[in-house]
Amino acid sequence: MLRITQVLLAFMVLLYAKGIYAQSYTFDDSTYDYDSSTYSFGVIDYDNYKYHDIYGYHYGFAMAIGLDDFSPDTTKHLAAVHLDTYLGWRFNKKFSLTSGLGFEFNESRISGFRFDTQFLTLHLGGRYNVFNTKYMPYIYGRLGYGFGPPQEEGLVDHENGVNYQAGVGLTFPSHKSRKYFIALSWHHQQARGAESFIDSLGNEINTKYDILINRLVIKFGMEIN
Amino acid sequence: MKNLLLGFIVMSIISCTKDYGKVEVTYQEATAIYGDIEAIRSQPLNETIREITNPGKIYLGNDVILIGEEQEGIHVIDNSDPINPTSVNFINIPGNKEFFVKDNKIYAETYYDVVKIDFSDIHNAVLDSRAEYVFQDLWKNGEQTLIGFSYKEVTTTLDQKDDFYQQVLAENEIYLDYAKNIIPKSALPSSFAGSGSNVSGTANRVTYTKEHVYIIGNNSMYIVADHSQGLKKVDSKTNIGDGVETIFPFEDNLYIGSRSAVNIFNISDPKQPIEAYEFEHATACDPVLPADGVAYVTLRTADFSACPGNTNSLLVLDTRDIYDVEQKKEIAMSSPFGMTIIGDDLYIGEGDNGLKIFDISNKYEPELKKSLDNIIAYDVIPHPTISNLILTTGLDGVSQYMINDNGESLTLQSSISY
Repeated sequence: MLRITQVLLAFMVLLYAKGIYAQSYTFDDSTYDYDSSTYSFGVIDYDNYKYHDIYGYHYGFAMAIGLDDFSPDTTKHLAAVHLDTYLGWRFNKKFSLTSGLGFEFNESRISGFRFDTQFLTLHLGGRYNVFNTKYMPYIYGRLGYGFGPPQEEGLVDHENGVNYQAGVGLTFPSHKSRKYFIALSWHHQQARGAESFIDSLGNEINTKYDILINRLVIKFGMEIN
Repeated sequence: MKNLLLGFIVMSIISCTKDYGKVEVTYQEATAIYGDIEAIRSQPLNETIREITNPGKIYLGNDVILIGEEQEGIHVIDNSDPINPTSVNFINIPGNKEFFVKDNKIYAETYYDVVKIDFSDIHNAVLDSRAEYVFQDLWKNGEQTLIGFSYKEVTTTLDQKDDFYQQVLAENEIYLDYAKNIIPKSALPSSFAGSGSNVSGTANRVTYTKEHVYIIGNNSMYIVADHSQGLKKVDSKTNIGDGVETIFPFEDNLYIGSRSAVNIFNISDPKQPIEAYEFEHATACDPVLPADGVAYVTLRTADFSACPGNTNSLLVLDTRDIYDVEQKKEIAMSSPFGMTIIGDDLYIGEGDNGLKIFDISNKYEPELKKSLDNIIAYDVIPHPTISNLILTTGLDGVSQYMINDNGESLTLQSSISY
């Protein structure tokens, strides 16, 4: 566990260092090179000076919510809220890597029992821009490890678990270094733990769960170069 | 083809949002026990003495000790020679868990009924009267009469397709009704019974005041009038909220402790309790000890117990105006159970964490006077006649301690083990 954390942190430091270096780097691509007075790294320029960055260091924030919470059948509502921040490096107009930190809350219902899971997640991911159009579609995937919260007295004990996520998204060009994106993602989180329920009659029910949470989430975010 | 592809995509998305896995569930499985209620009622009251195996309530009189045997009855112990207490009788009260003692009379619940038993002659208890069907009407399953449930801890593993808990709720209506109405097991391993004398336990479900017996179930209060002709059920059943655990009478009021509140009911009319105030607190098990203008409430929680949570404290409530109760103080505790007042001192049993003594000469500002960590005390009361003697309950028995130097130390006098 400690080893995974160390590797992820080292990767984030490397990306950050690379990002600082990129600030003074001039991208040499005859088709897409745009050396603005403000930005000295590679971009794809569009009409009206809207552009996409395609090289170098960037960071971003995202929020995702589960689509199950909007089911017409209210008995099937399952809340999922994910908050995410990440640091990334764009290798070219197609491919980038990210490393991030997130908080994820997922409500799960198994065998009639409801479990509320929370994880602090460290993750590594990759993004591939399918077409380098003005509204740039992409696919992405990421692998991470979620750290459960400390045991709550008397009720809950969540263990840590692996998570992975894959999805499709769309990045919007802009005049500024801020870019907005939207994505549809399948989120998977391994969750183990113990939870004790007291029903209205005062009966105690102890549970130990070992589940794979699967959520379809819609993600909104912002990237800054 | 297009529709097929669309259908495939939709199905894929739906299947991707289902959770997979298994849940190991440990619960108390209830199995119905059927019997002939008339045959149970006509069983002999006095039986040969037996070993104490599953003790519940304990009552200490001047020269007698009563120890409840959960679900079976009450052991009668002759304590006229405190050095050599001797078991002399066993009062057969099937299904009994809680009882109250007043003037050599036991008021006890037994399945559907409440009985009044005279034990003036400790060798030969006599049934004084019986109020039938106090808690509910007779439940029948075909020709069989439900008299209770036996419980067994069961662990089972469920996959995501099992809708276990919803099935339990849907298919066990009789059990759920039974569990709501019946007197549940006490949250304390063993504790002192309610008593009409000046020494009374604080963790009881049965109490007696103003010639009426008050009994609390999970969410209802039942009332039985104690007439000269015998016990008579009062028809009004008062809903008192969920998770109710303890009842304690003081002056014209009943103080009822539930897991989330202390409720004060005015009983100027003993047949018609009227709620005067509800003081909400953190979810916890909470005996209440009212006194003159003040009520002490212990809140107790523990990991994976019947009282889950993270609150262990002593609350001091100003009850001079029962329609406007105010919290005066909250004091952190370890695991407070029962309590009692002796003079200007408040004794609180902390289970395995010892016994704490607070100076309550200023009743709204208790000051910790002594912490006796080596004494196991789940409940505590003073001896009914010897002023400097207190009794404590532990997991293995009852102990008597002499109070030295105004509570500075306690000396063990004797123990009754079970």
